[in-house]
Order: sequence, then C-alpha cells, then structure tokens
Amino acid sequence: MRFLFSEHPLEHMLLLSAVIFCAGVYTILTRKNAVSILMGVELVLNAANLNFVAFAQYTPEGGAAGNVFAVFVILLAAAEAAVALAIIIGIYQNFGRVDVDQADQMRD
Amino acid sequence: MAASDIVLNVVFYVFAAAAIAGAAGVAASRNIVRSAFALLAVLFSAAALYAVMKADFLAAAQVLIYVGGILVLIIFAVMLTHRITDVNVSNESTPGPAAVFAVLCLFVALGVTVLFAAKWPRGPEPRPAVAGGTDVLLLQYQADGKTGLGWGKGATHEDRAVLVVRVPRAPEGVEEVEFQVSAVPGWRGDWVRRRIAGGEARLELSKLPSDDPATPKVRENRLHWRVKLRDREGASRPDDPFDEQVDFTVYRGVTEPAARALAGPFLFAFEIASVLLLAALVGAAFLARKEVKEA
Amino acid sequence: MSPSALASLAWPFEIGLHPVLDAFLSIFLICFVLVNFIAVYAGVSTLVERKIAGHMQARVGPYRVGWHGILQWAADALKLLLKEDIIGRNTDRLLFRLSPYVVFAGAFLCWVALPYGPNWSPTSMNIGILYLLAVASAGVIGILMAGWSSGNKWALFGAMRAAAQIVSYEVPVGLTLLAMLFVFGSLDMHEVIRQQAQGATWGLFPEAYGGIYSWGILRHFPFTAIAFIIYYIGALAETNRTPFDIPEAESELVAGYHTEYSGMRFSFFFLAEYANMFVVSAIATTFFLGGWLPPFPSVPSTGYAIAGGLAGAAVGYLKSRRGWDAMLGSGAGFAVGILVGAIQAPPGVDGAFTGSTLPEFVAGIFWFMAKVFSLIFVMIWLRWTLPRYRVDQLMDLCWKKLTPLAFVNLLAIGLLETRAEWWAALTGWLKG
Repeated sequence: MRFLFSEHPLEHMLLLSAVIFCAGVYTILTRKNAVSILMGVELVLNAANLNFVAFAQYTPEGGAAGNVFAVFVILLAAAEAAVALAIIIGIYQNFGRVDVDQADQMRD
Repeated sequence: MAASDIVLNVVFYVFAAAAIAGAAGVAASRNIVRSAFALLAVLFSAAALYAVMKADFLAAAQVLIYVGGILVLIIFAVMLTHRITDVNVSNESTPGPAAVFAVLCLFVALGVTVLFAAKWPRGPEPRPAVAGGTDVLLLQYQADGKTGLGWGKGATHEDRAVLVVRVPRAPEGVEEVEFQVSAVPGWRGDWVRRRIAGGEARLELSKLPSDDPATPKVRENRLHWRVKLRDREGASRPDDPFDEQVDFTVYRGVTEPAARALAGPFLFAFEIASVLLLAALVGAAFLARKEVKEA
Repeated sequence: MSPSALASLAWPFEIGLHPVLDAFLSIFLICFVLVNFIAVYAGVSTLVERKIAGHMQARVGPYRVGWHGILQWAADALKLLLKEDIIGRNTDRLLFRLSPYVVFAGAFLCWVALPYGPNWSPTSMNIGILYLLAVASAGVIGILMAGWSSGNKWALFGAMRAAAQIVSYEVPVGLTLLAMLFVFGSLDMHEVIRQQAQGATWGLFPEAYGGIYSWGILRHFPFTAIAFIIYYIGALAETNRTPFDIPEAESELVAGYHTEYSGMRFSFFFLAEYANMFVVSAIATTFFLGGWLPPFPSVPSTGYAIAGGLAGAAVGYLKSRRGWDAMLGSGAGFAVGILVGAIQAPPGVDGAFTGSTLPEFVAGIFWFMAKVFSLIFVMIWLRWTLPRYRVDQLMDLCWKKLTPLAFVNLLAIGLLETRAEWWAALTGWLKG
C-alpha cells in the first residue's frame, strides 16, 4: 500500500496539522508561563490554517474560500497576539512575574 | 515516479519533519527562548507547506505577518518579562499524565477520522456530457509544469491546464477525440486531435510559449472547450460538435482568486477585520503604556 | 554562446544525471554563484567605502596594500578568517552559533528573486515583491537571536533597538511599494519592469521603448518621486545605515548586537549588511528606476553616434577654442556614442523580452548593476556626510512624519490611477 504525499496529499496535510494541533494543546495544558501558552495558541491557529488551505487546494469544491479564511485567521492571530502580549506586560508590571498559577487575584 | 513527484515528496517530508520538531520544541523545551525559536521553525515550515500546496500569496503573508510581526512581538515579550541577565531562563511545565492522555486521545481521534472514517473527495469532479450520442466525462485540472514550485524554462512560472475526456464505453471505430479550445469569447482556436489511450484522451495547454509545437497555447485565463469524437477514417461524429460552455479558469497561484474573493463576497468581513485591527492597535498601545504615577 | 544555449541557461539545467539530482544540483550551482558574488562584492565594497570616505574627508583612505590600497579588502578578509573564535562563557551556545547564518539567510533569500536581466532571475515568482518583504523579516529574528545569545546586556539592548527600528520602518517602505503596485498592477517584478519599457520618444520613433521618462519615478510626478524618497529613507533605516545606525554605532553600544562575535562569525553579519544594501537598492531600481532597462530610448545607434559626435565636438571646442581640440572631442564623443548605442538592450523577438540573446543579457545585467551600484554609492555618501539620529528622533521620524506622508502619497497615487478625471478637474479649477 503506497501512502506517499504525492498520492494522498490531503490525508498527509491533515495528519500533520493534527500533530501540530495536539502539540499546541499540550503546550496550553501544561505550561505555566503565559507567553508559552500564547505560543501554544499560535500553534493551534497554524494547524487550523494548514487544514483550511489543504481543503481549499486539494478538494474540487475548495475554491478561494479556504485561502481567504486562512488570511483572516492570520490577521486575527496578529490582533490577538498584540492584545494578549500587552495584557501580559501589564500582568508583569503588577505581579512581578508572568506565572499563570500565581496570578490569581483581581487586585494587587 | 516522475521526478517532480520525488522532489515534491522530499520537500514535503523535510518541512513536515521540521514542523513537528519545532512543535515538539515549543511544547517540551525547558528554555523559553528556545521555545520561541522553535516556533520560528514551525512558522517557516508552515509557510513552506503553503508553497507546496501552491498557495503562494498565503506563504508570503504567513512569513510577513507571523514571523515578521507576531514572533518578533513574542520574543520582545519574553525579553521584557524576565530578568534579562539570566540566559538559562527556565520555563516550567507541569506534564502530568492527565494532559498526556488527553492529548493522545485527541490525536488518535483525529488520526482515525482522517485516515479511516471520512471519505474525502479526491481529484477534480468529472462532468458528464454527451458527444455524438456517447456518454463522455469531461475533466479539467491545473497541472504545474515541472514541480509544485512553479519553475519555468526561460520564462516565468508555467501553469498548464490539462483537459481530459473520458470515454468509458467507446463505440466501435472511435479512436480519437478532437478538442477545440478558445480563450476569448467568440474566438475559436484550431481543432487539435488526440488519441484515446486507456479510455481517455488528454490535451495539455500551456500559457506561455513552450518548446513543444504540438502543445496549443492560450493567452487568457478562461477556457471554453468543445469536443468531437472521430472514428478511424477521420470522419467526425457528429457533424455538430458537442459544445461545453464551461468556464474553467487557470490561475497562477492563489493571489488573484483571493483578491477577487476579498473584494467580492468577503468584502464585508474584510472591512470588519480592518476595524478590529484598528481596535486591537489602539487597545494594545493603551494597555502597554507606562503608568504615570501621581507624585 | 548561441542564443539557444543562453536560453537554456535558465535552470533546472539538464546535466544528464537523474532528473531529481539535476534539480538539486542546479539549485546548488545557482546558490554557489550568488554566494560567491556576495562575498566578493561585500569585500570590495568595504574598500570602496573606505576610499570614498577618505576622499570625501580630503585624505586618501587605505593606500599601502597593493596599488593605492586596492588589495586592502583581501587583507581584511584574510584577517577576519584568521581571527580567534571566542565564545563567551555566558552565551547560549546553540543560538550563538546559529544566529549569523539566520541573519545571512534573511539577506541571501532575497537575492534569488531579484530581476537581474530580461526574464533572467534565479527564481521568478508571481509574488515577487511580497516574497522579498517577507523573507527580509527573517533577518530581524536573527538579530534578536544574536543579541540574546551573546549573554551581554548591551548587546541585547542593541538588538532590541535594531529590531524595533527595522520593524517600524517596514511600514513606510511597505506603503510606498504598495503605491507603486497601484501604478504597475502586478507583484511580479519582471512584469513591473516590462511596464516601464513602454514609452514613445516624443513621436519621433514610435516603436522605440525604454528611456528615462517611462520609469516608475516619473509616472505620476511628483508623487512617485516622493514615494522614492520615502522608500530610500526607509531602506537606509532597514539596513541600519547612517543616519540610522544607532544599533551598530561604535560610540554608542560598542558594536550593538554583534559585539561578542569575532572572526568568521562577524564576517557573516558583515556580509548580511552589504547584501541587504544591495537588495533594497535593487528593489528601488526595479520599481522606480526601470530595472535593467537602459535610460536611453532604443533609437538606432547611429543616432547616438551622431549625437555623441556633435556633443564631443561642442565640448572640445568650447573648452579650448581651437579646432584640433574640437576634432579630438568629436572623435571621443563619437566613440562614446557608439558604445552607448551598443550596450542598450535590443527588444528581442517581437518586442518581447525573452532574454535569450547575448547582447540583451549583457546589457540588462550591466544597466541593473550600474543603477544598483549608484544607489549604493549614495548610501555610502550619506554615511560619511550626515550625523546620526537619536533613537527617539528616529522613531518620531518614522511614525509621525514618514508614515502619514506615505499614506497621503498612497491616496494621491490611487486617485491618480483610478480617477484621473478628478485630478484634471482639480488642476483645472486651481488654474482657473
């Protein structure tokens, strides 16, 4: 049974994005540093993007919609990363460290 | 296997391995700066994979925005939220068995769905038609000249369209299919003949001058094709050719379709996204300002 | 070299081995040629910079190694190669070793997509300029990597300042290039240059092409000229050249992010800086100065010969008021005219730039390099003329002055391209 990329491109891409997605979820679940969790979120978004583009390019009804959605995901990831990092810097200025386990109070 | 297939496979597996290694680095590294640079590997590999899938605009946008913007921002945040004189900054994690088990379950579920449970449509849909009283299937897809990366010989990247007519039950005597392809409405190209081999006849069109004089050339993007079946003596059946007025468009890369979509059906979403980016810009600048302490 | 052999110069070359091996081998060959060219160009341009600096400061620069110091670059290169490779104790070793290559990769990846000649570039993509802007971002990451892994607080500050500067100035650069994309309508740089070839020689030679009046910078004057100036200032800041070289100024932060690097590792940063200068100058010549097109329209070379002869005669006579000098001048002018007529690129087959004839190829590369090196000369000139900007002045210039100006420029060029009648009405109303 030949299971090569050139013959089953869609399955390969989906499996790869599943691996990256799971790595991202693992990062979000186990890390304590807020910036690390943000990196996990970026991994999840990239995996989803790979899925969108794979379906757009390797299925006959794909069309331009998958690529456009991937562009929107990239845009929104940028906006979200900017705001999240601003918040993290605020947390650092208030608590002195960016450990999510210890930033558990509403006021200083 | 064709050379282009070998190259495509090698490129995909190399970048897939880099992406998986990078993802493992982000998830498991004990040094947060190393995690950030492993994320660089993942982002670049994702861009390379978009290029393998011929979504070239998306690959460039990924590097430009993700690597040039988001990753720089993440690295700045890492450097601003730690004691910067300590190079071996530790990045603790709590890798309990619950997290590992949950993630493994997730991966198995996704893998089973992808490989066994779902029936993915593969390849372009053949369109049934009738030519000369015989059922045929018309198929078109875009085939890159050499590899998926768009090389060209002396000219820029060639994309070719491949038109395929499948004759599942050819009546006796039918040996050739005649194609006429036109790209401009009202203009008709020459009739080109191809033999039926293995139940199908293929015609390759290239956009730019190529070396092979038997390859018809088109100048525009939209194709309009007509099909006739011919028998051994060379007589065409029928006299009136079957006229397939389908607009298949040959795109070079994904820039033009994405641009048309963004200015067309997705215009409202585009405008909302730009308002959201403005809000994020103002909000982030406000949140990260230095508090001016009252003296 | 026959035309067809030159046409097959585009890769992948058919070397005769297995086709896959041919493909990878041709990639390697192209990269080998380009890296060697970068190395020699960067080395020689250090000497050129020091000589120009010297002569602008009324001294001679390096003078001892070779005739008038012409082998100084070889001596410098040899010194860098032989220096001791010091890695500090506090460094992150993997990243310290990796970062020079990442920075150089960010510069070198751009070189493979530049349009050096008619239809001749190592890869030609239909997203040309977007690819260049994208891979230039890889250099920023390398700079941050270098500053962090040096284990030196001042190197880290220098790296963060350099990264902030580069990322900030990408905004006006991107906006001006976007304005030029309105004018040309294609991301593909070969298409951009092809569009700058359309121009009539004031009705005298209708089939002629090229010439300075069809270049990008004169399209919607003065807005494209403003775009060129904004782009050039942004390019100076992107490559960390004076007056924006706070990150690597000797009097400020020792040497910024490459303080801790010595020997061959330092030379990679060096190569990357000069390679970046070439890339931004090449983008400027592609979009604003007509790429590999000659600045003279392609009239027959007899026209140039006659014009050159007359001009030489006039100059010779006027300089000395004697007939002999006029004849010498006209002879020299005649020769120059023939040379100019010979090195303009002929239009090829059907006016299409197939790039498959040798004169086209040579002329294209000559004009491209001439324009790029002139822009690099201006960069070197500015370095030894202007004082340095402070960091806050630099950011102020970018965000408060160049970016709004670039936006207004974008709007103006967009209006001129799509609603030219509004512009005509406005100028009519202003006059009347």
